Amino acid sequence: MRNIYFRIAFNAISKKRIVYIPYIFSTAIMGMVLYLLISLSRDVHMTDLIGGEVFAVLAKIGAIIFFILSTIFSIYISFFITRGRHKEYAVLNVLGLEKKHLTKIIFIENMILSVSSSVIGIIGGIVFYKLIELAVIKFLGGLINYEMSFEPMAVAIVFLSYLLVYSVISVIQVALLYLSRPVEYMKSASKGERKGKLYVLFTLAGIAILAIAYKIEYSIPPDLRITNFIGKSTRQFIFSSILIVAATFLLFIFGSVTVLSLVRKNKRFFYRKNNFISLSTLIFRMRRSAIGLGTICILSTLAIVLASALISFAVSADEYLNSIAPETFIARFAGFNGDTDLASIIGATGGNAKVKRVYESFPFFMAYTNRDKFYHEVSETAITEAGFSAEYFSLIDEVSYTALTGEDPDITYPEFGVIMGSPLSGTMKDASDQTHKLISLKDSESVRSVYGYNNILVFPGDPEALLNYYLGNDFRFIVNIEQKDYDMRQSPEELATAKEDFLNEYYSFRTYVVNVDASYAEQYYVYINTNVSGASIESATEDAVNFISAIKGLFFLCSIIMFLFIIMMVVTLYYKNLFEGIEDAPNYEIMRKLGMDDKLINRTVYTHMIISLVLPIALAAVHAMFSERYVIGIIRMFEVRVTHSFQWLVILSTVIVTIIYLFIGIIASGTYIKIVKGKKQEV
Amino acid sequence: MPLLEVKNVKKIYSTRFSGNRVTALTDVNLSVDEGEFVAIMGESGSGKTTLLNIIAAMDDATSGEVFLNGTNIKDIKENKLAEFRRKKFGFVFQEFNLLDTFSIGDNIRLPLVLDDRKSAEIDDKVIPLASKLGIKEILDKYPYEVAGGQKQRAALCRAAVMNPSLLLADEPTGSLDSKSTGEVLHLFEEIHDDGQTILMVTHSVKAASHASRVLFIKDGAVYHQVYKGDLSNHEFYNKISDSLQVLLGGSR
Repeated sequence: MRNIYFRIAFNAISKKRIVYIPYIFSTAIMGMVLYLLISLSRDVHMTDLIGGEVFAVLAKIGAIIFFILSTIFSIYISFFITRGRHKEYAVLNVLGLEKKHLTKIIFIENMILSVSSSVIGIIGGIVFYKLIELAVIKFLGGLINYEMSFEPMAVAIVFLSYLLVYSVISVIQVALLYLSRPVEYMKSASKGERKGKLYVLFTLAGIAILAIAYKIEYSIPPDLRITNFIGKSTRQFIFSSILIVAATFLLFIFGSVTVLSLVRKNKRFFYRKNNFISLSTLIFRMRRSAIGLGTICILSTLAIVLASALISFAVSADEYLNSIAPETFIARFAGFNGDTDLASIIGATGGNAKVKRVYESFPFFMAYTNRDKFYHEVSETAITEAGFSAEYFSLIDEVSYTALTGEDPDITYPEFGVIMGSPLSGTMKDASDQTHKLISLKDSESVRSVYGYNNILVFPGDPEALLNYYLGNDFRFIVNIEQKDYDMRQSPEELATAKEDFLNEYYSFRTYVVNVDASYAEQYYVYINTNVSGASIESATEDAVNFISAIKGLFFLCSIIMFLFIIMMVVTLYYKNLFEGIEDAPNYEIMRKLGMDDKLINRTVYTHMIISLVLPIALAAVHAMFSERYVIGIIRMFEVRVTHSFQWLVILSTVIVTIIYLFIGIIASGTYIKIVKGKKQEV
Repeated sequence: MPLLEVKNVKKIYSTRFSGNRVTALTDVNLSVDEGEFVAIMGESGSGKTTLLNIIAAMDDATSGEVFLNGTNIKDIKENKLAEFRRKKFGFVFQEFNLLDTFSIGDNIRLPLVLDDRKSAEIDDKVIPLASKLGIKEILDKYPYEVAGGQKQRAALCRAAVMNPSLLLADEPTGSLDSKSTGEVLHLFEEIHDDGQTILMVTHSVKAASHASRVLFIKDGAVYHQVYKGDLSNHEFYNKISDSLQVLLGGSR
């Protein structure tokens, strides 16, 4: 008997392989992408890559969104596929198979689909993962040293995900089976619009959820840091992404019908040849294709966001490279003779070096942050238990600040100027609980370029006064000078030593940013390295080039993932048209008999295509625009300053995605037209 | 000149791969005058529906010609065929062929909309005819919400709304119960009385008895015909039955 169930299930799939094989194939591609994303997020070698940790978190977010999306997609397609099977179940039921037997058949059928999709998906994922590795090695050569590994956990997660999704599908199908009588199953599905206030209600809910999601995305601090990236901001982004997915589906399923019904109320518009069939069919069609369109919208969003981020990154990195003249060097001189040394060097290189900027080389220090507050003093227990995170601060005196920016920071004790993003704002506390006000200063590119991407504290007066003030007030922080950590929570003697060291180090370094003619660059470099003792020299350009090269690996991976999202979009669009074509064919046959010509059929089909192009992509573009803060934040975490408008890049990426979509849309519409027009029987 | 003239129409189907040939129509000749209500009878597989499809320009004849108002259907260009069909023919099918995604009202409006009529004109035509056919109340409903008889009335309304030269009906009562059959046939008669020419294909003697002339088709050709003349429906029913017994070997 058990064999019979399996045979019935297997035969059903085998008989309808024209539909089932593409279905298995498309869900397998989803499994492949899921495997890839999970593997990338868990890959231990990721840390070898610059920005690998950030990428791992992004891959995890991608996996979560993709899992939700593939669940919805699989359930959506399964409805199309099983609709034709209802009559068969009814006949089997009438012939004596009980509903519990039919339940077994449904479960076996879904398990066959689940296992075949997941196995193909996982194998595809493993192979694809290896191919990416080979491609990385081939195209990026020695630039990155990265080896991809096999991830048993990813295999398990993908396999279980499929099991879960297909179990849900089985439960839905079985529930439908138990809720209906065979006679109802034998009837063809009752079609037509179902009216109700629920449509308006769900539309409004969709709008509200979308507004909340956008607000959450916009509340992400513009200046992302590793601490809030790993923590709050990413949680916010994941939460808002889930809300966006939900709102998108609500708007497509209910909003579209609500809007189209409103349009229909305008009789003069509705009863026009070109609008009548399109709109009537759309109102009905939207109830089913809405899920397909929602899926396309989310996939387009992912593709647009990734494309915009990649372009933004590439352009910004390029601008960053150009902003540092190719001959720019940063030279550090020990002692107090920097000026004299430099003059001699400039003389020795034939006067081809020009001092661009001079600044005092201050040590940076570390402090602790928690819940939007910034503390100097935090107990060891609090650091480990209460989740305080360490933040680095660079110190700059107001004189240097003015020299770099041309602006007076206008601060006096107990105020401090600060150049940093949130969440560090509000009060600054020391041991005696004196409150020091932080004044936000303009985020200055010139200050950032010489002090790096730490938070920057601008202090009033000279450094010695600062130290005297704080050491005298039991100022507690860990200061790092030339690889030496001084924990200032020590005895007065130790503090005095620390102070002395601090001041010595502070006064002993002065940094010059020097522009040298390209043809003299080498000569300049060699001269300093061989003739000036106690000086260190680094080429800003070379550093930047190395950094950009190293980041190419990530860039490449992101491009591949974007490409996969586009493939999924194409697959969804294609199946949407294929299934709808099969379903709509009888209606078009009737309309042709009633005198609808081929021109009008084509026009109707292409109108549908344009609508199903404009709606999801337009909404995707808006979704993408709201991701700005998080995306820009991530790019800035790679120490690349974004100087251009992200919104324009979103528009550009939208245009690119639209062109691809249009291209596939035309092919898919051609398939649809071929199906609905049918083939003539002829002599 | 007759409204419809079918001359020596032959239709052979051949399967694409095996090349097997099946003759559906051998040599059909018939004509229908304006204002006539003609029924074509025959057994299953006798080629009735094939003939109807060829007359309606939905299928091509292997040989032979079909004239409507003197126009040879073959001469109509492919791109004008849909318009020709829309303006000249109305269709009623056994399975109603209502579009399930349109309301009953919109199903009836469809031919008028396809013909680019103004929305006011559309309702001027649809509402009175729907009232006459007793379906005004269900115009906003969807096909799945109404009974078979109502669906067929809607289909009849859709077929007649354009005032076509010829109303073609393919087994219009085939899917109806006897009560609905009677009602729908009565409506056919009413429309015919208003001057509508009707060509109906059926194997139901009851349906055929409402026509003014009945053609019998056998082995792909018109075999015999009987006229109603002054006979009542019942008398004509008996006459058709008798003819069938003689001509088709007793099958009804």
